[in-house]
Amino acid sequence: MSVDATTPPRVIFERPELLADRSTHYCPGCGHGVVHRLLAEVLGELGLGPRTIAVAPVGCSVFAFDYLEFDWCEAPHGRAPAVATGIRRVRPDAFVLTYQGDGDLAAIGTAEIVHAAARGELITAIFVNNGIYGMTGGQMAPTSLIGQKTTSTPRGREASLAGYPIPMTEMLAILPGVAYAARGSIADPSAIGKTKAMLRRACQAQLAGAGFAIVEVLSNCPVGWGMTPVESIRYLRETVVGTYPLGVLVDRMKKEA
Amino acid sequence: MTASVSAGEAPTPPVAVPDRPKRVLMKGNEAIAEAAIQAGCDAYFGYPITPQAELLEWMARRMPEEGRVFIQAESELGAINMALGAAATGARVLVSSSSPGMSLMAEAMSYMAGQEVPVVLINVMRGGPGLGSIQPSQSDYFQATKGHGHGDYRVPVLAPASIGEAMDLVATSFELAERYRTPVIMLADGILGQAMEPVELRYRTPERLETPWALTGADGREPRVVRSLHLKPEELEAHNEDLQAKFHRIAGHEVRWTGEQLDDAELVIVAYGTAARVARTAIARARAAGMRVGLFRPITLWPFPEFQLAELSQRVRGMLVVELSAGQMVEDVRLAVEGRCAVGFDGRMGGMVPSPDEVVAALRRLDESERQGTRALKARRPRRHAPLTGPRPVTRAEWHRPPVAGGGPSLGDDVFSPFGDDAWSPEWEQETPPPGVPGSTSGQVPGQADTPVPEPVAPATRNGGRP
Amino acid sequence: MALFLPEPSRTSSAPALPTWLPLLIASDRCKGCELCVAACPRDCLALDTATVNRLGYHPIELVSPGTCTSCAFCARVCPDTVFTVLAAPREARP
Repeated sequence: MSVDATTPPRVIFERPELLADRSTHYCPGCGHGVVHRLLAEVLGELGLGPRTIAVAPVGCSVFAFDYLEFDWCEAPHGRAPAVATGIRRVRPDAFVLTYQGDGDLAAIGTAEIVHAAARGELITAIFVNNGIYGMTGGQMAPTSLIGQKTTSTPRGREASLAGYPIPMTEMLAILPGVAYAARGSIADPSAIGKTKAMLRRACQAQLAGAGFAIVEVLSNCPVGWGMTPVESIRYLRETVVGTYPLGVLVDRMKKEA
Repeated sequence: MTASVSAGEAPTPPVAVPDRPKRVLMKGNEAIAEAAIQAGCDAYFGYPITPQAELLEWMARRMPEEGRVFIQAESELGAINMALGAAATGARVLVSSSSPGMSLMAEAMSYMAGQEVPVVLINVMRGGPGLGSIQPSQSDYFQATKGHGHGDYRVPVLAPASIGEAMDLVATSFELAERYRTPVIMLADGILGQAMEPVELRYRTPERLETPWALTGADGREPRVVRSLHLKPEELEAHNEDLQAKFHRIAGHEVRWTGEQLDDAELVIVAYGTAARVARTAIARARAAGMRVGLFRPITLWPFPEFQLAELSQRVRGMLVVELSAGQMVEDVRLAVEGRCAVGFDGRMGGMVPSPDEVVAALRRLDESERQGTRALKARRPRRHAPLTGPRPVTRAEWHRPPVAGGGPSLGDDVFSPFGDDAWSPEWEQETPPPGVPGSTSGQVPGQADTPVPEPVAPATRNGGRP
Repeated sequence: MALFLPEPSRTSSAPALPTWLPLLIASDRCKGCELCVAACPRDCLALDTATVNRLGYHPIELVSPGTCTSCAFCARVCPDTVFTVLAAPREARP
């Protein structure tokens, strides 16, 4: 094929179809925008858009249903895995996912996520962990780091007063009903690529009927952390990953294969 | 049937036996569960709690047999949220629990009302508050009709009085939930759940309605969102106005009640559920003793049959509300009656059930007090603590209401004595205080010896003119 | 949005610039977070401090299109899907 100045260029990257063409309410540099896009890419590539029924959290991403173009159900704070269970059981043909933050999943919703995982519910949980409660103004989350200054730990989180950060995905990974549990981050393009692969594998766990799947995505909160977006990504890469190691924690699909 | 013939007799013609549905002895919980299954329940989510665990167990056995969904959730909180999700896809969903579990479901009630998701909940009430007891009670009336979750919403509440009625009302509950896109509560109690009665296996399967709002996957259509969050005040106001319009429609069309022997009644017992069954026996005994008593039994507690009670209050002398509680529905009765007749209350708490004779005695007291024009009905039975030795307790009427000249009707002023009957005397209703009560000036609030006391207005007034 | 920008003819000593830009930028969605600036390995991007978009931010602009290799790192880290990345059409390589 001959190429000249009139040959159109290739499109390397464009907005995925399932991501709405509108600006978001998220703060500048907020990781939710990246995770939304990755989800839209993965679901679009797997052709799952028409089958998806997603459950929204309470938190900054409560408006996820404005940005991702499939059916959504709101849930009370923390209850998304239970709502997703109900949807899943009566609609075996649907593709069901939850999108939750650290307060939703690791604080008020610990019972719901543990039992959905224990039952091996065929749902995919996306856990966006930025170690802070952004929507309500920057309070401590169960996943906040020791020493992290938040509006409810102004002197820095002390273990004796406020406990230790909870490694939710490690805890869930030991349950037999969990087919896939992984932790990624959005710290740089390479990590973003790996996280996208984790999301795809987590969706495949549901499609294969293998069991419950969860992907924890370490994300940032520039405003809550009191940093510029660029500083927050550096903090994510250099500090947060020390407490929450990246990688695939369990992949029971591989063991069976 | 063949005719039997013996020598010398004309053959007896065969007797036609009318076709009757089969009657089976069933436990209430199980009968209600089976009625739900036959009504087309797609999914049941529950958690064991006495006295409704048999409902869950029946569902655990039968739902998989029918290829439907059953989950024993990790808690009532999990169960009700599973129900929210399942119902958001258009499924016919049932949840059951008892009083403490209903409290756990309060949050989700608000969400289901705001998101307009149809779920049927059955509350087999037990004694409270807190862990309470496992015995029957009706102390969740406030919770069901006015309480549970936050926000401006109402929820239809149905109250069966027998197992057979409960079976039918389960189907009605599904109908109401789906017709109006609302959660619906069926309020049973521990007796209804645990008793065994012969029931006719007569079931109803409400037809399925179109659900253009349901989440089914955005295949070839615009995505749908089932939500209650509307951050713009204009939008939330509009949403709330839609909800209120819906509640008005329900109130206009779905009131259910029944009456017995009301045509010639002078006194009426207002009761629902098991209390109504006790009342029925009490009425039979009262009638035998010459009292003209009838029964008004609300079947929907919300929408409350207020207009029917208002009309009835114009032609009866008094109403006795009987509940297995400290008195919750009685407040709605008083609101409906608006002082047109006397309203008294009789009830037991903590899982105790009033006997028909206790109810008859309360009827007599209501009758007598109404005849005397005092409209007072003191607390039903002496309580087991020490009599009050200080200043006499203040009546509720004194605390709240100015004196009514001429002894006109006042709104159900029963003497509210937290210190027990032992400390109360009928003489205190009169103008002069009884001898020996310290602070002998009547009308003083305990502890305020310096409060000036106004002159009594008239001796015949209900409170003796005391403020 | 036009895919092509016709470039003026150049003298033979200057390198031939592409007739299309490797990045299409939705300036009205940019929130000026500069994650793309940090991610770009070739320093092609910078905020256009002379402009304020309708969201109130200085939007990003491609200050050095010639050095852009269409690696799309900027697009991958951007939370607001500001970028569409284009690359040279495939041609038979010698």
